[in-house]
Amino acid sequence: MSVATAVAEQVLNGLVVGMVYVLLAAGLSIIFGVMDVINFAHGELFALGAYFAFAIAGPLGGAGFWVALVVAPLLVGVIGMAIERLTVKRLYGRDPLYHILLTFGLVLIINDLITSVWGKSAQPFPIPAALDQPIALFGFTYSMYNYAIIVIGSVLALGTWLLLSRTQFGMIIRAGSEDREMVRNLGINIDRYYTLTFGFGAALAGVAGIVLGAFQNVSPTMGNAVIIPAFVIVVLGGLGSFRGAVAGGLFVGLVQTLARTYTPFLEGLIVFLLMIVVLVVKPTGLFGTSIGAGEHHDGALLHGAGGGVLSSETRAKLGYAAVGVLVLVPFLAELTGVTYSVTLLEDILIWALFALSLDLVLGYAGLVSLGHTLFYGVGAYASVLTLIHISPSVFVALVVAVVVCAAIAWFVGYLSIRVSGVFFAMITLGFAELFYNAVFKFDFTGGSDGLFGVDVFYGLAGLGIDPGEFEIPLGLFVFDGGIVQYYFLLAMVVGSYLLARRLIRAPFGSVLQAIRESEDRASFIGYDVTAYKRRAFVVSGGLAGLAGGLFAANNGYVAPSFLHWINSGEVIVMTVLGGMGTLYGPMIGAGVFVAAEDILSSYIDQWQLVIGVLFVLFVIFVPRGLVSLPRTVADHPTFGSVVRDQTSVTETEVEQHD
Amino acid sequence: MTEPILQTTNLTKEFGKLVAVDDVNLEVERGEFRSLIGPNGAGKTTTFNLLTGALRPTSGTVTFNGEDVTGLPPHERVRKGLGRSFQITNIFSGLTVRENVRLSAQAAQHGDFRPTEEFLKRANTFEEVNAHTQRVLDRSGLSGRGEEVADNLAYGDKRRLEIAIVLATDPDMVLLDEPTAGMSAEETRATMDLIHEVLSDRTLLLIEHDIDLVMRVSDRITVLHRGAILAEGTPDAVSEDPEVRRAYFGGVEA
Repeated sequence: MSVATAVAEQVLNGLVVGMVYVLLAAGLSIIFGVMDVINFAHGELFALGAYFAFAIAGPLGGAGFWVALVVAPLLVGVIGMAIERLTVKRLYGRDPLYHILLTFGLVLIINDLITSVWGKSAQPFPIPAALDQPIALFGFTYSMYNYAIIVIGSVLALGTWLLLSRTQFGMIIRAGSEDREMVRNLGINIDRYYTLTFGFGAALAGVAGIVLGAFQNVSPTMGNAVIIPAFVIVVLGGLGSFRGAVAGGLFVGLVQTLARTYTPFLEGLIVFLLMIVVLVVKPTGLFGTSIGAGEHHDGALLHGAGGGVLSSETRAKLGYAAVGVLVLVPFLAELTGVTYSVTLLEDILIWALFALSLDLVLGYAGLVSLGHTLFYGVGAYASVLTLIHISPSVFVALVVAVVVCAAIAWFVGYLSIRVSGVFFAMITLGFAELFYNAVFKFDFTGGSDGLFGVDVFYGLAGLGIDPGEFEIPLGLFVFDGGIVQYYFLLAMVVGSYLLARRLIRAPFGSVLQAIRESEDRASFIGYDVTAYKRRAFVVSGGLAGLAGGLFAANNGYVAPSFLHWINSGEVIVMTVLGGMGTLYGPMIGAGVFVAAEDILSSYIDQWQLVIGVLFVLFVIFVPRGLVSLPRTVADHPTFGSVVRDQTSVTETEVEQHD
Repeated sequence: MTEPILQTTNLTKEFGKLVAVDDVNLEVERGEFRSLIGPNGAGKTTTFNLLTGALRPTSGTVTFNGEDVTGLPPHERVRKGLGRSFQITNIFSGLTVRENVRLSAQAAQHGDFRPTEEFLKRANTFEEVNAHTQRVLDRSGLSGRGEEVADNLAYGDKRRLEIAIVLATDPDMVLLDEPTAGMSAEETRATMDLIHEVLSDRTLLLIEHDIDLVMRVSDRITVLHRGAILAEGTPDAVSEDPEVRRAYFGGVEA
């Protein structure tokens, strides 16, 4: 085979992958452009398409594939419409963050449904016999099915373009994306069009799932595998731009395929590098315009409000009580023999610290960091590498973790904070994925295995405690190394909370609160809003690095999964679950989330489904988080009357003064 | 004649083919109450945004207190003494009245804070900031309401707070963006009285389309028409100007 033929084949392979991306990204982009919804569940809709086709084609045999190619996307479309009607629709007018959260919950639900119906392992989904053969065109042979994918993709892309640009349907949704109230005032039922648009985008994802499923196989992780590249494409091309989605999809498909063959080291990295470069140079993407999509934030972030029922004194007492209980837990655990609870609490404490760090940027600076696990993961790697190569002292390791993460946060913040909103979210996600893919590539990071078996010393220069050898018997109770670890962790987490609270009460934090209330106003009384946000991001990155470092030091290992985007999603969930903008709320959220996950997963297989459903309900009905529940109850017309009588108006004021 | 406090030289802003502000040379004297008026689309808001720094001009310069501020972002212009109020009340509505004013007072002084103070000292324990806050609250008639949440204030008091926030930045000059937009005659009078009461010792530039109001309060008036200055002078002179009458009143005798 000549070089030219080899290149031509790679280019065709790239176009095949690219077409799948085009279909995915087109749906994602239309949904964003029209409704401002960032649909994380798009990858799961894609997987659903593949599985529906798999289920339909199997029993039907030969012609089954063609029936499935029509029926499965329609089914996915109907599911998409149902999702829009039942969930997404309730959140219009809120900040796009809530759609990210909602659709993140939907990912858990749909993914769990898929695994419970079709199992966890990948299954073969045969290409129809008629297409399963090579064909010679222009002097070289190539798979007919691959040509078919390119044709199907092109036809659908062209059809979508015609639909958007030449039909009344397209005109109305384009008008709706510009000014939805205006369209409504013209007497058009725009809501119906939104539902159709969502369904249409979902159906396109379904088609993409089918063609890729038959190209490779069907597996429950297929949605997870494509969603991040699909986002990259949408951002590269320009949010909400159909042309951008098509060009970006083909481009990324080509680049990925060619990189795999010719520069294997860059595979998995190059796409994210490209995205970062494009966003830094042209924040609106290749085809995006600043007008129209992405920049019209009308909804506000809803912060947790503890006020009204619990006074700040009561909350302080609850805080002391919580710390008191946490101090006593090791004793109780030993006496009752439930030592497992200490491990669970260590997990909770680390996630609480991680959520606290996120709250500083999300709740106070209003920045949706979608890649916060970058700092958690890098903190973990930095501390383990320090423990192995530099010093066994946990103090040194944690200092290195914090400093490295703060430096990276400064750099990422420097590049991205001038770019607002959705773009910041995407750049942070891009950096996190870049690091995630990078740790697989190097020997010093342990590749896909990570780094194991690290010994930790709680001291400096030989003075301190080696948890492996430490043991002081105290009657019934043995004060051992594990307990030293626990108390060290507890002290670090409580200390970080106190530090964060202090920052928030200092001039620095007071300005962050001002920015959260009104960015314009803060700027026009003389504050450099961008600089304040960057500083908050640096502090946040440092604290997240501390959380990752603590986890790694406690458990003696680090792995690439520390950098996986699911962590970023989970920590956002915890933060909002507890009530952002309160510091303690996200920590409570982390406790509830980790505990619920732990309990549910030990009793039922479909625990992700349960968590997903609870979370979706939560985002819709209790967006201000758990800490707002006392007030929500107090404000309730019937339940509230009892509680309200006991609270005076002045307490609300005290709250605000706090 | 002394040096003007604010001066624009050949200030121009184009949006694509549209020339929103066309070669505007504006001079505002220290201590005067100047108004910038014009019909809808005359370029008032664009000019305002060029002065505050929200927009960058296509060409031309803005000089404030003898210093070229054309390239400065809004917050730095504010620190140099160029304050602004918002058309729609823009206050930190979830915070107390005192905290609103304190933040503004802090902005004027926080450049002098040491890092340990900036990050670790309680924000409400800076004596100079607190004293300045109290002075502004007293002056703007809000001293009794310091502990109320701003959002719970009545409409008039919100406007009062808006002005107090501007005053606390200790501006030499205040740009007022249609402060009475959408108000009844009664509210308009109250707001203008408030501006006189609180900001009378500062240079004021009022952006307004209500011509009667402008005639009443201004020392001098600049009339914008299609992005360019059509006329400038005292209220009487401007109202007699035939060009202005044609452009602004559409030829109808007022």
